Amino acid sequence: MRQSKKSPHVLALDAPTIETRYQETIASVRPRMTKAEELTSEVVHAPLFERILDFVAGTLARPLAMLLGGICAFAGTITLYAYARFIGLRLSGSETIVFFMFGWLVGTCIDIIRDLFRRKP
Amino acid sequence: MFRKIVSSLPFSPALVGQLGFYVRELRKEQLMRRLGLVFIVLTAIVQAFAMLEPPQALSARSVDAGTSNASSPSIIRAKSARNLTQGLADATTKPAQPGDRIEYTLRTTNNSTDPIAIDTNENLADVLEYATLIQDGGGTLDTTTQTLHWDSIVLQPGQSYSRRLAVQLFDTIPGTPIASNNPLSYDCKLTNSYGNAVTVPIECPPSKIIENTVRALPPVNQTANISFSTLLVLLAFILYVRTVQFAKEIKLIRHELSGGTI
Repeated sequence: MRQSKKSPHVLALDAPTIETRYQETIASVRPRMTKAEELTSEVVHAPLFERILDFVAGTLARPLAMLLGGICAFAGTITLYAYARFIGLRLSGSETIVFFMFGWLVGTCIDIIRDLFRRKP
Repeated sequence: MFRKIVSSLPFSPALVGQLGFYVRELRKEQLMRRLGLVFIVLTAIVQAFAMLEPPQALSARSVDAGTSNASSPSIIRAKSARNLTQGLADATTKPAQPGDRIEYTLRTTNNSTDPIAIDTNENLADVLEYATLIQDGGGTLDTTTQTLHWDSIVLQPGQSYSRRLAVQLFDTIPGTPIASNNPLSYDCKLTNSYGNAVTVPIECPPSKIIENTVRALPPVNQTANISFSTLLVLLAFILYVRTVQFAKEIKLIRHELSGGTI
């Protein structure tokens, strides 16, 4: 900890201190977890892995985008596959990817629009 | 968000209020991730099934649309089509509608200096996919080869003769996909040749839109498909496990906070 330049009565926190306390907080609750949970916690909070997952979860794999992507891919693939079998149509192979991308795009757009209008806590 | 709140908690216990808000967000995220994972796994199963048992494309009965009826220097063959229902002198200019009657005229001219015996055959395999023969012009239809045959006649030098036949389009145009062995089959066009090729476009049924869209998609091989699905399932699973873990840790941290340990 060091003294803040703007207001001398407030102690500013530096990054290593915050990191240390963060790891300590997580470590303090680990003894109350099962072995599997403890192992998962260690993997999930491994510094590099955690940063990569944070980035991916907040950008490419947002929950709504993944959910709508999954729903579109499932509904689209099963419908098209059944239809193709019924009429005798050869599929190109990229249908699932296209359906997923469509749902993912819709989910991402909804998320972005929602974030724009949502009040920050 | 998790890191931000948890790392700030020891320095600012007032953030406990934020924890409640974050827990609600986390619950929503957990539900969405769980459902997302379920649908992605189901998609992978359907996709695997589609790879093991791919839909088979149909094969056309005949791959010949009358290409054998080509003109030669001594015999000139020509063909034209009229849409009798719509009153079009050239049926190739406007799509034919279900139930329309199309009349074909086949003209043969002896361009040589000697008399020639001429056999006239008209392959209707492509035409009869969407229509029925209503006027054979004195010819005989071979239902196996879908060929209309006229008896041989002798044409004197410079002499011409015409044969007429008419077909009527089905009231419901079938949405059968294009055959794997013949791109002309079920392509929403009546194509056949007698000297020159005549292609009469017909109004495609809406179901053909799906087929055309699928055909327009880039082909992707099985390896790329499997890689995509595996990666997606793995990512969805890891992110779901991460959310569950966060929820568990937040619950424990809240408990510790209320107990005064943190």
